[in-house]
Amino acid sequence: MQAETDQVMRLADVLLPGDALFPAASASGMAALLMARLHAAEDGMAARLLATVGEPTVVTVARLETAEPALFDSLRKIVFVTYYEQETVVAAIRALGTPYNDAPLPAGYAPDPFDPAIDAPRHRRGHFVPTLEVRPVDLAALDHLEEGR
Amino acid sequence: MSRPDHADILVIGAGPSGAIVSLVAAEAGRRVVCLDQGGWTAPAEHPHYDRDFQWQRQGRWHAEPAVRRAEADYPVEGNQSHALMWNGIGGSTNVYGALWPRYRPSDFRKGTEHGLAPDWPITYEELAPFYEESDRLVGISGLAGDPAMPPRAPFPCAPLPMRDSGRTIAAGFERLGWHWWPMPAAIVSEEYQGRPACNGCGNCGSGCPRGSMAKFSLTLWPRALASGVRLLAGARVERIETDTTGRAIGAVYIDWATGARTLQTADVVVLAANGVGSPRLLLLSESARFPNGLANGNDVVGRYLMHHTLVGASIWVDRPIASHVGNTGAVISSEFAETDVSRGYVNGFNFNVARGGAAASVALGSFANQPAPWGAGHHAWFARRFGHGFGAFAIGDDLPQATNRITLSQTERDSSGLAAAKLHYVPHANDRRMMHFAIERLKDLAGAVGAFDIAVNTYCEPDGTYRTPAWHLLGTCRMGSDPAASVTDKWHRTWEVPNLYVVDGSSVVTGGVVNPTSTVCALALRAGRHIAALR
Repeated sequence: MQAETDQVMRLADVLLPGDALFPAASASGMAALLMARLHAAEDGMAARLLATVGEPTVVTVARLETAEPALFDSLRKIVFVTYYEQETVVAAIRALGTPYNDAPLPAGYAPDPFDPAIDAPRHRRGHFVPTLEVRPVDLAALDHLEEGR
Repeated sequence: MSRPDHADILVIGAGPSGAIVSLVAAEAGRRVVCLDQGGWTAPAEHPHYDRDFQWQRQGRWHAEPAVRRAEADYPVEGNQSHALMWNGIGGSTNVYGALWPRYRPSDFRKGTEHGLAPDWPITYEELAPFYEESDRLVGISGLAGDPAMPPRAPFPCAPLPMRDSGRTIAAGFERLGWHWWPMPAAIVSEEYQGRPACNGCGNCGSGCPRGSMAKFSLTLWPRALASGVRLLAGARVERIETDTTGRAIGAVYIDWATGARTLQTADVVVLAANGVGSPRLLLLSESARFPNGLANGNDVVGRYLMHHTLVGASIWVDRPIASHVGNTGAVISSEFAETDVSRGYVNGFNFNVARGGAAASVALGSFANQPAPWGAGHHAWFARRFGHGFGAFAIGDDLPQATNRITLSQTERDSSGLAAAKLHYVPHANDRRMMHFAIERLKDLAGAVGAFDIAVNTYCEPDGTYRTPAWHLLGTCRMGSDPAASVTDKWHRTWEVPNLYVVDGSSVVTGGVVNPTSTVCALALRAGRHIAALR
């Protein structure tokens, strides 16, 4: 079981390697949750992935993406979503300089009320056709409208 | 089969229109029973308080029943549009964006304008007072004075924050010389009737457990229940029953917890089950007297399905704009809302420009559904885009076509064994022309905001199939002046069954260029007043 987890995390690391800002998938703390979600998505999904990919490398994962696009899409979705909810990754996002809550509530974000002096449109653009001024338009140039007539 | 107390009015569906009809009828002193196949969704059940909130949106909080697979849902067969809805108390207000613009006067006069859709049997002016009252009832934030719309009363609440994201988008429209306006929304910007002001949590797509957004199970339904409405959750209607004279006598529902069947009788039946559910139920209610389905002698039930044309784009700018913060709807533009045949098509579209995008959503491709690269380039791609992007969508007025329709599935059934709905939708050539034009305008907008990247979403599959998220399920039991070409009269009363009404998105004749819930609610308020006064 641990061997399977280790190999899946090597696969996840090919998708999400670490760099100076973000941890690698295997260093994010996501392993147990990722395995649980793979198993929940499809019984034997992890084994099928590993059997298809073999040793995870950029080349073998690219081959998976081409040969089994639906399976790859499922893998990518599960890996990406699981990764970005990890505490280590949320901390990395915050380090980019942007406020980011690990859950939307209860905190929400700082208020920034609508300021009419700044935010209200100054233009007078825009028009509508009042009910009594709706007139037939000339359709002569629109030959595609024959469909459905 | 049990028979509970007779009701004056039976409402089927506890979404926005069913809630409003139930409320106004009960407040008028009528005995109202409302049935909904789904249940209550408690605030604590929403994913907002959980670290895995984005994961939950991929599953049990997904807006598409086919993905969510809740027991209260029913399948919608078809390989074209993705029908989105929430089956439960409050309906799709459990998972919507709460954008609240109105239809425009010309939307009601497309028959006069070009003849590819009928005129509505009512005008904008007849509906306008109900828009105003509905806005107060629901709690709408916005800014009056939009030159692109008829004059209106001040909004109940001040506009929602524009924030850096909204200001950036507005500046782009200014550079283009195009119309823009702060988006009206059913989200309160200040305390309103006991509801707290929005705190900008950025997760509108999973509803709002605080009640800042008008989640009708938290906002309208408590008032309706206090007025005496008897609301039954988990009550899946199997069919509407009629008597020998052809009048509706009530509906048989299945308690899907027990399987027990009950006939709820009523003087008047109001169907409010959305643009898929309402025609489905009419078709399920066929009988010897109504062999083509109830109220369907003219074979119009289920036809003329519209759900708006939709093309969109994710647009990214260099400057950080914290676009993951705040309510979804930022700015609306009505620059291209009216017909101008010099553009090569009839009808028009609006731009809805939206914030949004928690981290995983950005990585999965945000609004354009084009995921971040995997591998060595992933983190740099993410760091440059997270909090730097927004979504721009062109919501277009699709032509109603008889061939676009809801029918009964011959192969799929819900958990009670009832035939599922089947959806067929192919855009008209006019719709495609409009979408092509809109895509070019999205690129103009990207240029005007100084975007470093844009990812366009045409919602077209490689084989050409147009497959779009279809929130706005419209037109399938349309009202009209001609009994041969419509399902109901202008009061939503079916032509064939004199005490049966259809009041929801299926009632509209044309789709307009905006999110329809404000119009659906105004129509429901108008119909509810009328129905409540029936004796």
